[in-house]
Amino acid sequence: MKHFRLPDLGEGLAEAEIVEWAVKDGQKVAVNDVLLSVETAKAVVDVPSPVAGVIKACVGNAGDVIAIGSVLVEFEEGEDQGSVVGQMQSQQQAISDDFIIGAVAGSGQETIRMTPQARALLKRLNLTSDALPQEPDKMWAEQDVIAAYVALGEGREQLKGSRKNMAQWMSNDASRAIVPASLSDDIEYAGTVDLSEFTPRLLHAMALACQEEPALNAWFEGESCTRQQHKTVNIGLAVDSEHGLYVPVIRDVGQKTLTDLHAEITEIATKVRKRQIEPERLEGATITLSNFGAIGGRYATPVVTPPQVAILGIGKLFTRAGLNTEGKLVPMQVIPASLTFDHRACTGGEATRFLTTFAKQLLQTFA
Amino acid sequence: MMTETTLLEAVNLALHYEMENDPNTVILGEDIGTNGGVFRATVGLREKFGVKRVIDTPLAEALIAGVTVGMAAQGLRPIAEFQFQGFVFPAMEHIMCHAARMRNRTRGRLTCPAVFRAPFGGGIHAPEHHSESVEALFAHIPGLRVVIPSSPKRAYGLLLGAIRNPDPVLFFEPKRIYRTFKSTVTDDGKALPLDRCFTLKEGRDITLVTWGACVIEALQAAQILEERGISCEILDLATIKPIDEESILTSVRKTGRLLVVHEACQTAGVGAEIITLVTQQLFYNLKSPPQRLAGFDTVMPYYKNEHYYLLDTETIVTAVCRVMEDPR
Amino acid sequence: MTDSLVPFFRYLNAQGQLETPFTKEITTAITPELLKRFYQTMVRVRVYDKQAIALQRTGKLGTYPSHLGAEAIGIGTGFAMQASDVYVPYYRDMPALYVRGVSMFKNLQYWGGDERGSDFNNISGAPSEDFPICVPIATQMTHGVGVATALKIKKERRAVAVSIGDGGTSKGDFLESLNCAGVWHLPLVILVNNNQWAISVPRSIQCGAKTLAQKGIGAGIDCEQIDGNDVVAVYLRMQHALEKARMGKGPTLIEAVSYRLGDHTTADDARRYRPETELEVAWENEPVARLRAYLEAQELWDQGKEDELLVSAQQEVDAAVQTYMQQSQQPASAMFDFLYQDLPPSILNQRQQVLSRKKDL
Repeated sequence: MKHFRLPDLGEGLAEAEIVEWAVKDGQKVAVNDVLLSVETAKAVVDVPSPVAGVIKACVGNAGDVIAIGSVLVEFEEGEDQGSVVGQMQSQQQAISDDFIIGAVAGSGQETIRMTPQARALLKRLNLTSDALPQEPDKMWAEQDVIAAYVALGEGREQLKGSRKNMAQWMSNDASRAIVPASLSDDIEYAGTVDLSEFTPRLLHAMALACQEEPALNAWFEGESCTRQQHKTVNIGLAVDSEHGLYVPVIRDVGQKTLTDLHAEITEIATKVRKRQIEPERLEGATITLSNFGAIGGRYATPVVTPPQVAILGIGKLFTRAGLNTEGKLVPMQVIPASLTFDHRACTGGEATRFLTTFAKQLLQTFA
Repeated sequence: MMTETTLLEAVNLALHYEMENDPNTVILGEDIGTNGGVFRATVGLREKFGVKRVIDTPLAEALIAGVTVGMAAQGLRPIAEFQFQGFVFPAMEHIMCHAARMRNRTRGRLTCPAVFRAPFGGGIHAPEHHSESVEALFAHIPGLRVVIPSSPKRAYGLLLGAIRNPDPVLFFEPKRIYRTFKSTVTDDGKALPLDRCFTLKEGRDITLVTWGACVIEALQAAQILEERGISCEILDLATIKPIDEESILTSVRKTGRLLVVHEACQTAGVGAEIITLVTQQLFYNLKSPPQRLAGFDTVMPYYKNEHYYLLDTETIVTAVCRVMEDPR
Repeated sequence: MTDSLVPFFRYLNAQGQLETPFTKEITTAITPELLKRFYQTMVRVRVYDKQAIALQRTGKLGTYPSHLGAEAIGIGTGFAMQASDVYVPYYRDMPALYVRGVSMFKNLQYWGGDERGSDFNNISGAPSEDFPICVPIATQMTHGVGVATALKIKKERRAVAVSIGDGGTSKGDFLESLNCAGVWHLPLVILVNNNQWAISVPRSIQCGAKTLAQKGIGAGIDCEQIDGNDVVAVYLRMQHALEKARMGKGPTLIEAVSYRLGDHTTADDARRYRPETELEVAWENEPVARLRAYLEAQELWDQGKEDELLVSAQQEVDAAVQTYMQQSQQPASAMFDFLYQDLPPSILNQRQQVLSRKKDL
């Protein structure tokens, strides 16, 4: 289109007055950009451009009365839209038009080959394929992923036989929910418990119980049905603070003296109170102790934090009459202990032995 | 000579080049002479090369295709224009039963080195039958090549490649982007290879295979996704048939994810073909199920509602995120 | 214009004078009242045409094919047809459809990109059996043959009229349909609107035959040329052919010679290829002015009536435009609503998707 003539604006009128131009000579316009507004006897109407192009000349000035059909705009030659239907958008901005013929291979970083199930398992294990050993032609199945996962954690093993059966039976399916079971005991002490260094004593006894029954000092992963028993005992210690519950970890408890443990607990408690506890000190617990009795309450069902498999809770001490080893009625101090364990990973026997050992070791610290 | 051209002008430029350099080249179609084609793709050709090589035909698409077959059998290089892809259908019998099979039927004695050009796709507010995307119909026909350019440079190079190809080529031009942007095209007569796709953007996380006008929205989506930390590799399929299998596999082997984006209807579309290829060859490399984002299995709505059918940048971004965040 | 191979009919010449006085028969068929109605309706569709172009030019309507110059063909055809006949139109046939009950609003809807524009009733308000506007070239010919075959099988005394442009006569569908209509002796009237231009291709390079009408000879069909700018000729010859069809006396091919006074569509610019002088001559032959001249000479029309008509026509058009502009848009899911009688589940799923990614204008 070279000339745009004032269209009949749909009111059956013969002429219109130019109110205002919205464009000027030399301007580039797109389809439907407003060219100008005109006033007819009925209304002021915007007149859009039917084409895209460059305006060579606007004909007429504001106030001029133009007859329908008169040339309003002359477009530059060469901007002919050329279509018999539709509206051709004509932005004509320059773009970069670079491309590579074909495709570019990754620099040795190709996706590894895995069955979809294996890939899904990897995802549920919170791992990426970067964690797997580089074996370019290997086709990874689920079992390979589990093997690699086992190899990634020291002491991690895939459960077999009756242990695996237990885990699967307890879980009922591949669900990741733990299967909590609880066991409580009253630890009786004929005499007065030395409350100094009480928490260090609890930690110390736990460490010894873990050595006796490592099944409770373990991590369990339900997807792959793998268990990782730890040699060192890292006890998460539940610390209540006004900011909420913190569970800082006291590492390698078995190697520390009561004095060491006391100092560490004091430090931790201060840091928690000041909210200065380092994030890394909140990670890596293999088992947890909650000495809730310091606040109150005798028995509880503390909640296991996966992948850990056990948590021990100690209630508020109390005194009752009891028979001593010689059969005499004496005042007994009672330390109420509540153990929750993940029954997928631990048997009831293991849990019981753990608790018994714990009681024995704890009492020995008072002897 | 380097020129800033639109995709449409690049088509015209390639036609001029080949008409100038190959006297066997002939152009025929409706309104292509005096009028320079309804979209002006053939403008200036009749003035330069005369009515014997730039032929305004009667209004008859079956005729145009049949005549093209006859001319090609005589060693000419006919380039037929259909005004819209939606009007190719009367020519289907000639394209499918004759153009595509001439070499096979005559054991190579006669061939059909012809190009059938047609603008395609929606988005220009056209009336019904003017917005078709039916490349899959042609891709289904043995013996044909189907080529779709998506930029001025590729339009120039691919059209030259199509004209020089010894077999029949359907060359579908995405009319929505005929004039939307310009780029620098060197008018050096160099053809681009057919049967190859083009990497428009390298990426790490997902391969997007697309073609035609959708390439623009795919590139825009990739930019948005880049800001969200998702790195898209964009492949312009360009030759719909035969598919450049190796390039697609190379890319997906790297990214492990695939999304095919096409404006054409979903069912039995070209996207299904690409997904089949990747699933068969790279099943175990895939990080998530390959997906396609395609037009609905509906008639293209008349223009007031055509935006509901067309794929915009946001829809592509959403589809990419769905592939990336596949929860399975 | 005459050719020895086919007869040529014209009653009213470009000056609005009768070429030969009306016979008594014709006078009975065409009353002064009917002539006035022809004129009024031609003016109405011309006012509409102008408005539709204006709507497109102001961004309110999609691409629109003007019927400027085709008013006599459409109005003559529309009035010649009976309500029970079936009309199979192409895209420039708003005038005949209008006479057959398809309102201006419906036509605006169609060209405004809304499928509901093809859902229309006939003049009596019942659902129409007429075909929707055909955009692909010449395909409507074969459909006309199909409808006519059905009417013949069902032994109904109804006729089919199918309309096509001069360009369309070059397509196989046209010749195949002529052949079939001839050999099956169908109740079909084929009306070629020869407006001399198929977009940029003039009649002279579209076909080597002297007339398009004579294409019927090879198919054994009665064929004739008429002056397509003479509404009387269109009406009488169409009426004659339709009645012949209803009586079981076979098909007729009528070539109505006229001129496309506008562009191919609003997206076309005929100035690129059409000589201005040719257009000037064509305007001297246009259909509306000659009928007005005749009516005025017969004292059936005057300026007062003309002014009234223009006001009334504009009111009708304005009302249609208002309805069109105020209509609610179809929902995004509308593209699924008439795909099948019962939407298959997989596609129902896609329908949900379009709603979830719904974007409003």
